Amino acid sequence: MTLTIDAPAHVGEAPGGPRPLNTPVVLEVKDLKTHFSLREGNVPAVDGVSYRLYHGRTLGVVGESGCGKSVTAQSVLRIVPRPGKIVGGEILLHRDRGNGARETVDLTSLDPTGKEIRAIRGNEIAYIYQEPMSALSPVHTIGKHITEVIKLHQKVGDEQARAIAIDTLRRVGLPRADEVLTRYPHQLSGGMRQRAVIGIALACRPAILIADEPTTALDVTTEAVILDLLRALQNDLGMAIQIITHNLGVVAEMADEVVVMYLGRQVEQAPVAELFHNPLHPYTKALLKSMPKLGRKTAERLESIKGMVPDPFSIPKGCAFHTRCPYYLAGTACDAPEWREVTPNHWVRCSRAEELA
Amino acid sequence: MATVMDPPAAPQVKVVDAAQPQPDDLLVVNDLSKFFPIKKGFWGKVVGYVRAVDGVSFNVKEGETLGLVGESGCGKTTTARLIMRGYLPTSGEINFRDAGLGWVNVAALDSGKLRQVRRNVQMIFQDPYSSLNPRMTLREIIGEPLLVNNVAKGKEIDERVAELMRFVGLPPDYMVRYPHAFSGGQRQRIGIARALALRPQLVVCDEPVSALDVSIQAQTLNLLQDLQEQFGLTYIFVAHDLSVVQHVSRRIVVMYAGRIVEFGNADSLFLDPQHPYTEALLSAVPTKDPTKRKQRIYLSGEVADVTNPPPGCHFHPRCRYAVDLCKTAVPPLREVSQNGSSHLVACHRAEELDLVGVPE
Repeated sequence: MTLTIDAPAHVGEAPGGPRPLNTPVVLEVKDLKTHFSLREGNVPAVDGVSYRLYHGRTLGVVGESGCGKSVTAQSVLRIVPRPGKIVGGEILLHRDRGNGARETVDLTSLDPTGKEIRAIRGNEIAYIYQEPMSALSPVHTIGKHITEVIKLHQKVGDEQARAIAIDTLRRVGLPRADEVLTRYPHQLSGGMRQRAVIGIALACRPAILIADEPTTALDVTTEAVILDLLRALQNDLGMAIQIITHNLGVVAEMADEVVVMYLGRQVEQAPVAELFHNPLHPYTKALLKSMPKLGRKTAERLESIKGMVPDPFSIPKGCAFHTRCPYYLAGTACDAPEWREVTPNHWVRCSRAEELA
Repeated sequence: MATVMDPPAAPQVKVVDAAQPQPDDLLVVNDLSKFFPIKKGFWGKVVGYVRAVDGVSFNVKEGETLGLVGESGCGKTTTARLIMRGYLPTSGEINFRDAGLGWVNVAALDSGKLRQVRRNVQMIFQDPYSSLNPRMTLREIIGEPLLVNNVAKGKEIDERVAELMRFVGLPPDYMVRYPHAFSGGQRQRIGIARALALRPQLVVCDEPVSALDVSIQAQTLNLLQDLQEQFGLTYIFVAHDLSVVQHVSRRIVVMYAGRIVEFGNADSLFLDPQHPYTEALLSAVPTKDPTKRKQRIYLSGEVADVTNPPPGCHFHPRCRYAVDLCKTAVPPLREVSQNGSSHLVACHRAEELDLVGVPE
């Protein structure tokens, strides 16, 4: 038996609207380097990534598999799987000290199993996993999952934890929340499970929510509902969201700013409208062109990027994309492109960005 | 619950009369159903049926790509597997124009004839990791169909495999390697080469690109298109990604909870949908333009439970246009012409509704 949500059918409110501007920075990642040292060689999964998360705003991180987008997020939470190690850079969490005073913690300096990071993880910074079924334990009820995180981070008793849990589940759109608390993950549908996972992430009102492919495992109608839910919760709670995805459509729907990654590095970063209407890096351009568009057919063939993502043990020297780039000129600045700001807030790592624009 | 216990009921949905295949048809599926029994207890008593595919009819024309879309559990993969005779249909006909045997009903073939027909109907699978045997080299994987069908032997197999690998853009030197040495995109090419080994007439592609990265997806779709032109292949393309399906298909079938809700020309179906479910599905697709974030239609509740489907139109509990008639009478799939486009639609109110498609 699966539970069903029986809310009335309705047309969703128009998303978007005015987005908050000039909000405070809550997380600052500076020149982060996370490497995996394996017997076969060193894999620079994240190699000098910098970005900022702002209160109430959404950063989209896009890239293909192996570009380091998930490892970046795992580094922030200090849950990089072994043998991965942060070998350089800073991750600065700017937080309120209660009385309005701000303090800054460098997460890279914390012990990954220590008390401090555990107080932050799941509390100030929450994480939503891609696959809701594997993020939940099959032998525990939803109630157990959610009250665990509440009791871990807040000084509350069983009764109060339950009340917070019910309130949170209502907020993520699960009616009959008290009933859902007694259910096991397998008794819920995919969409409800993902709502429950979001509920667990939001139970402690995090300042930062990192969502790693939150809708990839879901059907398109469920995906739409979950994305709208995340946006509505952001408006309510004012959290910063970092959404990691390979789906440019999800980015177009959700993000305020976008980071495009390729082989562990940022190749382009810009406000979302700028990135979609005026992409500068050949890789971003190719990604946008290779997506089929809904609507009247424009071309018989899709533009594709030649070749495939190179082996992580032998990342091409200089511009990592040069092996697949149609505009590569050997012996020029292409061999060492700099990360530079071409127009305000529009960053790119391509020496030929202007002439190709 | 009495109806659930009965053996599969006579199909309620009468669709276009497909008894007379047109000359350009390659496959005509007529009133196809697959009900999986739900068994309980020691004696395996049948307590109900999962009505995975419930009276589906459509035709596939030679040389075209027919898209099959819908959400998980809508029966699109079951339909694909029925066409392969991976399952024995509960009822209905699958008429296929075999190059050697002429028109045959795949649903009722004996195993000898089925073997012959299967040479002409091949499948490409979704997951390029689990669909290739890790203990077989590429030569064995791609050459196996040739071997078991006695098409080629010994050295000749090597030649044919090399040729197939060149067609799909893999260097023939890799023939001696095992699948683990290849990336997802390359593995999918291996799967395509295997499917083409016997020069089939019809290729059923079950979510062939959904496990691949965006840039590899485009390469694979282009490859499938090139091969279609080169060998005159006909594709049935099953996928949940509407933009991919629209890109590759000439005509599209939209399924919901085991039934076809709409069937029509790819472009007009998406620009001008006539079934409320198609409209909702299209509105859920994320926009590709951040300045055009749009209003969306929410579908409340969950996909209809096919073990105990709602009476009448399966979609009515989630449909914002539903009236009393929709709760009792199953809407037949019928031709509706509106705004210059004509689709087959299973909706009582198709003519009166003015639905929104993808903005141009």
